[in-house]
Amino acid sequence: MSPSSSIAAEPGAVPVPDEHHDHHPNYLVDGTTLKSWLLTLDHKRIGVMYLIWVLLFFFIGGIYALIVRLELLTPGPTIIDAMTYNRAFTMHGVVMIFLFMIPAIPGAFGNFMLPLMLGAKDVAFPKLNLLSLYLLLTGAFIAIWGMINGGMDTGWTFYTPYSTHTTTTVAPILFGAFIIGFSSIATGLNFIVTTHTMRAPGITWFKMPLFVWAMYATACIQVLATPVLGLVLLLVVGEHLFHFGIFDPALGGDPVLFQHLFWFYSHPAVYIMVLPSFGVMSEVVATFSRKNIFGYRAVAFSSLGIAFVGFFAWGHHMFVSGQSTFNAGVFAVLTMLVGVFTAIKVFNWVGTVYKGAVDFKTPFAYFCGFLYFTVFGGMTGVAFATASLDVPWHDTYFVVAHFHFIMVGATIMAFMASLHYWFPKMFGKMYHEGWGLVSAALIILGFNATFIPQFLLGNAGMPRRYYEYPERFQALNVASTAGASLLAFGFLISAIYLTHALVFGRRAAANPWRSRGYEWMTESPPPTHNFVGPQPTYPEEPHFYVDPKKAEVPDAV
Amino acid sequence: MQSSSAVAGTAGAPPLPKLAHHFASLEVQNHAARLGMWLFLATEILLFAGLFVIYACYRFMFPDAFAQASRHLDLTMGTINTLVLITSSFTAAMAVHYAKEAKNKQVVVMFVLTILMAMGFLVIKYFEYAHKFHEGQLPGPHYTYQGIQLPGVAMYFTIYFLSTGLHAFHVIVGMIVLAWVTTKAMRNEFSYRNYTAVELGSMYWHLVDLVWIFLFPMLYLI
Amino acid sequence: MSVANESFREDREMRDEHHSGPGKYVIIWGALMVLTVVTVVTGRMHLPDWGLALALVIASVKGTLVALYFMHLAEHQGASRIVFVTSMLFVALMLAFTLFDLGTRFRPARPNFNSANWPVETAAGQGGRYGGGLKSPDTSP
Repeated sequence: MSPSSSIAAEPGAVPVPDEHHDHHPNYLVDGTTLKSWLLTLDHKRIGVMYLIWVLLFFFIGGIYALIVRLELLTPGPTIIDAMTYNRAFTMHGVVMIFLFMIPAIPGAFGNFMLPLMLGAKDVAFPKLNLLSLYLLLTGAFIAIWGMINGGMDTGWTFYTPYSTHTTTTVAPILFGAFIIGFSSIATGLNFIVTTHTMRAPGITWFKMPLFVWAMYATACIQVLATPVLGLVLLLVVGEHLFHFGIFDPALGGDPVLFQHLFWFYSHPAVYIMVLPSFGVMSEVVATFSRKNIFGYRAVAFSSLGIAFVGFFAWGHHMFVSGQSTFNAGVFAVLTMLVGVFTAIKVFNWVGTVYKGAVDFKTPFAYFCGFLYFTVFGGMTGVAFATASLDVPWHDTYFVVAHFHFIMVGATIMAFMASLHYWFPKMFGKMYHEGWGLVSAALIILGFNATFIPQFLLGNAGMPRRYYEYPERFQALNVASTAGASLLAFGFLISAIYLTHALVFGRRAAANPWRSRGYEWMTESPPPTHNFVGPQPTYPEEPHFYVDPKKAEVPDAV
Repeated sequence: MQSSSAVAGTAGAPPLPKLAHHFASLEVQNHAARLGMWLFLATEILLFAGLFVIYACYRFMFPDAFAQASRHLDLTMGTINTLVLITSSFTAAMAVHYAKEAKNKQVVVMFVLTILMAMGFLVIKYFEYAHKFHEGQLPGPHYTYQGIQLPGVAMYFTIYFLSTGLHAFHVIVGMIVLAWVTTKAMRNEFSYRNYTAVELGSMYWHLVDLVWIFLFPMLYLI
Repeated sequence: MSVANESFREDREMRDEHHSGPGKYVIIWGALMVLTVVTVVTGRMHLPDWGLALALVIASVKGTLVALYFMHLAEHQGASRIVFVTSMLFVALMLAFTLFDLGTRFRPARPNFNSANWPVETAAGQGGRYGGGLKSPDTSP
């Protein structure tokens, strides 16, 4: 038996070096020229490059966030003037959403893990994969060029007619977002075809890892929703430059029509951002509870359910925009349905931890934060779906806190969890667990300190995107900024020890978490073609820790 | 794994296709290509859908203006364009048929006909646009047409230009794609084992036709 | 091996190197031509109530023929059909909800608002069953 198949038999065993490994170098060292990286067709290298770039974009978006929070320390002008402030929060939104959140987990971890989890050697269209990375970078550079040349001040939602009349540099930023949309479509298309056509023998649809289900649902949204955004971006740029008049009331157009088309993409887009994180959590929770996932099919179907119902909910962003009350009612009810599917997932994750043997490592710490943030962020979401509650809360800090709870609290916790969970898989090194827990605690605490005051602010009536505010809101704003600094500090610590681990970290075993996920059935880091020797077989489901038939307490499995 | 160059290199015999290392078999590779193309076509459908939504909303709001403005379009030219595009779709489908039979010369003929008909479509479109420039029926601030005095007429012509403009852009892209596949056919590359490029190019062309099938009655026959 | 959108007939035909003749395409082309003429003729009649519906039905039939036979959707099984049908469903979804909005919106908020016939006069004394009732601006309360 070759050593590579013995890895499947004994999870956690360190591979013994022999001739196999000399002829099958891992993907990181197979080709050391710049060209071998820049023109690679290996999904793992593409995933690593995505990771580097999205982390850089996260940093840029974070700088803008700190600028905004610093400005809000005092009721009047603090460090910048009003126009710069408008540009700052707009750029924070644009960079965080289009340059970071949409590509992050699919591009970095989806690309890396999907073929490994399906027993495939690569994604279906490797060249398209590389192209998607370069489309992201091209769009990002065009957008950043626009930002450097003044930036736009419309908010990331660039509502018409202001966005078509403002003199700020709307065109390059929106055109950059347009190109990034193509990257998103390419990734989604690739993942759907890979899932349909490249599953190894033995991996049926209901034996796929749950991360794959989540990525598949995300990919469906990417393919169906992003083209509408593409059209809207083109039309707004066109209207900005040529004044067609489709969305301009002065020329007979309807600005609410813009909002319909915009939110038709942008609401499903938030599910593009959050579904992959749900998928990561399903993997992490099973591994660190050392227990089979509770209710595999429910979790799998709920991913599809969220993707589907997410398309029927966009009007809840428009309750106060002039939409008809009939539509508002319809959208309110349909929006609440999404909460049902998310609740199914939460219930199943908790059911997995119940009576499991919890190994409290850094990814699990992030899972705990994630769970708390998802539940509270999600519940405030259902509260918003009640149209009458939305009316006083709309465009206040309450909604800012709500979506940051989900986007930062849920998605970024999951991003950090996946970074730590898959760090040994991707780089073959182990990070320092103590520092991992410290930074997780700082991040979770810092996050609470930043955004709970914002719930209070929003409920008290402070509007979002406002440069100045009444004196009575200052205390909470200062608290929020203090929390943001703590949050930034937590991320900084993560960056330090993770970079340190990349260079000086100790060599990790092939499967340090002793996970039964499919991606762990090969070496860490994997060889270039993912598997050495014959195709691995998959006799059991993923994360098969306990055989239900032989379990002591069968109904607890 | 077969290489496409020297193996079946006898004159006239199409070469066997290259199988990428990550696909289980040639069938899987071909089916993946087809599914990928269908997904891409789905994105194109959603792209045009946004324009159809804009059209539907403004037509709902300004029914009379839209009806009257539509009668100022040249129905004859529009009908000829529709018939030309449908026939080009037919020749594209025939190209796939001949590619399966390894009749690469016929594939070239069919695709050349398709491209010629596409050019005819664009020429007729050019004449229609020229007439509109002449009449002042232009989008946005360039609208100077006085013929119909109803609110919403300018919107009709804006939507007309946006929809047919985006469609014409796709016609041009389709022509480039088909031209590229034609050059491959001229190198005698296609047979029953390998006609994926012909099929995918043809599918894109059918989508262009599909969009026009809906655009034509919506714009010309209100 | 069962593969997404594997067409069983295509698989058999691939092995036998035989497939149907070109006649099928000619028939579909002919049908499309006829339907085009039908839609032009009925379109020019400008039927008041069903004109739009008829045009959409004819266009849908033409589109279905192109998809099923020119694009071979009738032969491809599995995922391709779901992809195509799903995209159409979402187009319909986008159209429906947006038109619901425009159709049920408070009239003055619509771009085609015509102040000549708004507010609607109600008969004197009629306030609606549960109260309320709109009066035109120049009447005293």
